[in-house]
Amino acid sequence: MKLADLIDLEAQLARDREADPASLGARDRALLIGARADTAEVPRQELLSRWLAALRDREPGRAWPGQRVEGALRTTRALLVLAGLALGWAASTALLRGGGPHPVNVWDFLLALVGVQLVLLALLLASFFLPLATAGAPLAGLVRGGVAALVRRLAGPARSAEWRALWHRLRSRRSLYHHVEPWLLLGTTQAFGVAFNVGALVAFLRLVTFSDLSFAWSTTLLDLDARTFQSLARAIAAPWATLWPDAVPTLDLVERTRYSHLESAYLWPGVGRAARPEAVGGWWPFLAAALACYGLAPRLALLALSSWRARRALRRLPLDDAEVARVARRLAEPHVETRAPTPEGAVPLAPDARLPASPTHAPAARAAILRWRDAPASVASAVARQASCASAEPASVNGAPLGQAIGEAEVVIVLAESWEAPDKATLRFLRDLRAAAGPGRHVIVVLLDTAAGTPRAPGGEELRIWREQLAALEDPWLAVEPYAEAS
Amino acid sequence: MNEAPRFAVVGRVNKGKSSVVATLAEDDSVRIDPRPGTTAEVREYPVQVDGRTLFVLVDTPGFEEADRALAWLREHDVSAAERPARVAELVRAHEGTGDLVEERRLLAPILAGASVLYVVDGTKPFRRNYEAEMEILRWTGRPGMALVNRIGEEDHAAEWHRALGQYFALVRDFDAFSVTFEERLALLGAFRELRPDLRPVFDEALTALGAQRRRRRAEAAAEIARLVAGALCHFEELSATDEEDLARQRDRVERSFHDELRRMEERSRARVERIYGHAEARFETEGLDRPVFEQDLFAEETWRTLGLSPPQLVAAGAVAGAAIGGTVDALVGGASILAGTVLGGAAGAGTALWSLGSRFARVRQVSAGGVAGSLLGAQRWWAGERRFRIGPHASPNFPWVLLDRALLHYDAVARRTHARRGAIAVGGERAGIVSGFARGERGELDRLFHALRRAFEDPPRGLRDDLERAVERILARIDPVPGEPPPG
Repeated sequence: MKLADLIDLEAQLARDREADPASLGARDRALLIGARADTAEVPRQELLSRWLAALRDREPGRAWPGQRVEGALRTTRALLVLAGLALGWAASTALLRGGGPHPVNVWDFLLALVGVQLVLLALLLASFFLPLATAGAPLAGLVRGGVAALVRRLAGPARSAEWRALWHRLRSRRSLYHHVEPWLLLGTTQAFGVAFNVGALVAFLRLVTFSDLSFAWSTTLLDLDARTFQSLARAIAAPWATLWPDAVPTLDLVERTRYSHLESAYLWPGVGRAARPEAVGGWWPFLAAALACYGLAPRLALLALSSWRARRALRRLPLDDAEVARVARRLAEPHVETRAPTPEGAVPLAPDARLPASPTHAPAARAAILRWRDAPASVASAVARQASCASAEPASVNGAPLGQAIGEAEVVIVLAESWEAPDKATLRFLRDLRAAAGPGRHVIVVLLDTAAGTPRAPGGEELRIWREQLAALEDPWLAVEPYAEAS
Repeated sequence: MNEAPRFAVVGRVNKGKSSVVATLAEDDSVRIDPRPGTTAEVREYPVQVDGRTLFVLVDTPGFEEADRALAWLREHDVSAAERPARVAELVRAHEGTGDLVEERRLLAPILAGASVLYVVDGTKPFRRNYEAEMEILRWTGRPGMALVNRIGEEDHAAEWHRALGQYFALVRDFDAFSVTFEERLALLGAFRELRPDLRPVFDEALTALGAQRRRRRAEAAAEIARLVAGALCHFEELSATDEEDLARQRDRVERSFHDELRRMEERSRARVERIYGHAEARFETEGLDRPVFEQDLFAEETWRTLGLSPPQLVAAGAVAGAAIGGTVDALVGGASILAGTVLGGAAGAGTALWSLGSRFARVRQVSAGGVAGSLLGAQRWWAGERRFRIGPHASPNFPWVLLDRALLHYDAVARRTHARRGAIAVGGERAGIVSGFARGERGELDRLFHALRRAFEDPPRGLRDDLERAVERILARIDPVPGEPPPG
């Protein structure tokens, strides 16, 4: 995983936070299945990288903060490299040319270009390996503040709030990425360090090559003689002594290049700047090697180390926090959709049921009782009494023709089970019954609830449904009545 | 898509076909109504995994005139081998007429190769007149399974089983209104018996549905954790120049603070419902289908029945206080003879005891921390302005009550089938869940609640993650998914 991926991951998590999980599942699986990914066995990092890549392809016009931040980091590094080159060149040139009529003091050169760098390097290493949080915190805070300001500037006013939220989110989730941050910071600073040393070395070699430099050393201390100074120089040159023996100062060179500022002349007799350039300029291999060895090489090593560690830290990010784990699960597991492609919608409202009033008939009229479907015959007498009619034997509608079944009865009672909603067959039967009975003859549908075994009065809902459905027949002599249980 | 096997859900009108489909397809847009004929057209519900249709549930209109249809089929004496063709002939012969419309529509997918899921209402007695439609289905020659839908009080399943067993190779009970996820999977498992040739298809569907259920649970856990952490860290501030100014603002801010907590809970519940696919009916019937909360978040009854009991709260406070005191003891190398632990425990218990009755948060004066905060405080003091804050809610029982309500709501949502319509009842009749937690689990959660309160301005991600994982473990106990190991 790259830095841009990491930042984009956080941005996408923030963006998806309020979205419907089901739609996210559909979107993400479609993206990965489209990419022909066998997601079940893919490591989490790679899965997330593929997902982000697919999202970027899906929305090419969208400003992805990861690429912007990575671009800004690259630009910052490039600027630091340029600044380092310029500063190194300037420092080296100033040291070599700034001595006026006197030769370049080897001590000054070593102190300025090697000594200071070694001290800075030691401090840097100490801040990494020792718990110098108090010393490093203000610097890190400044850097973070700078990055925050940079992010705001890069985002522009339109996206400022979104990017600020992302920055805050990154900060709040810092514990997840704290292995990456220092190495990125170190890499950026070491890019500057390398450039500084390269600039200094190139400027040094340019002056060595295209001008005549004279080097010297001086001391006020009487006991620092040439031999001691040479031992010191040999110790410094130890790392490259075998590789580059010419870059180790000889005792002869040391003795010949001792210089007196009081007399403005080398102390060794016969040594003149113009006369013996190989003697007075003989320090340059040593100084170049010192700069390369103590200035450039550690910075290069740290740059390589920080790049490697940053890459490794990014590669080994556990990405096991709860939110990322949920996303990874969403990406790796199949997405299930069971709904209809289009929702069915609400049930249309029922038309107003305008049932006729319960038809009245003369008391004690003879009634024909018909059983619709499997309505029980046992309640016939009770139903007849309920309808104030004389008792009659119930007939099944599946038996004789309807006209014959109802005979001359003044009232036709239809027994029906209330829990069977009136279907088309029921309506057809009632139409046929009306045709057989002719207009004006009362037809009463008596509903029985037989679900519990013993017939009883139906519930209000069932009665309402029957009445609503039978209203479609527009039969003014038709009524729907609940069965009245014998008290 | 055309090659995916189909299962036509058929039966008499108003016997729960659409309820079965709604539950199996988790689709609460399916029309369900006590009036007959609600389903007038054939509708397909493809079960898709990663866009591939594994099989299709087909909702059909109900039989309305099975007797006549069967009579038509029997007009000619045909052999058993010719019966499917005779059924196809019935459909063709009545095409373009207004006759046997529903029968033709429901038979069409079966004649095209769909297997049959015949739904009957097991709470109503078996009647002979059902034999006509069962006979027609037998004439189609397609494999069939009967579902005895038990969505009522009476139970006539036994007589139905005896009758259905003569017509269908498989007969299963199924309550579309209160079926559990496990029972849903079991029914899909029965599809394998109906179509052994499609076993890999159903195995894949079952695996994917199990994974989806676990993901939903994880999403819900994240939502509940977000609610608890957000509510626990919520605060509002105001500045006042004098007592009169403060009195003017105090009521408004206290109301605003508690209303925001209620809104957070409401939003969280809506999201949990959406995670389980219960959103559409709710939004379509907005205003009618809102959840009925019998008790307000800050109602006395809520706090009496939910959350931890007073002894549990005092014990939790004592443990937390003792832990802090114990740190002091450790720092002085035991020279305090455990006085820190004892005093800390007593102080923690005392604080919990004192806060037991406080359901509402109160406005308190605050000063910002750090050097910058001190400077700002000094500047405000100089200007005669004082800063006040309400929140985070200090009651030790607040997160427990909130968590309890969220868990009860989750329980109701996760168990609610898509055949049910209307509000999700979150009841006050049930005791809470959190009081039954093991002591260790309560301690872990209490530690998280304390840590979140302390870091209320910017709680670290790790704390939220820990809370989410703890909630997920709880949900795994409430809503176990078949095939997963029991939560530790």
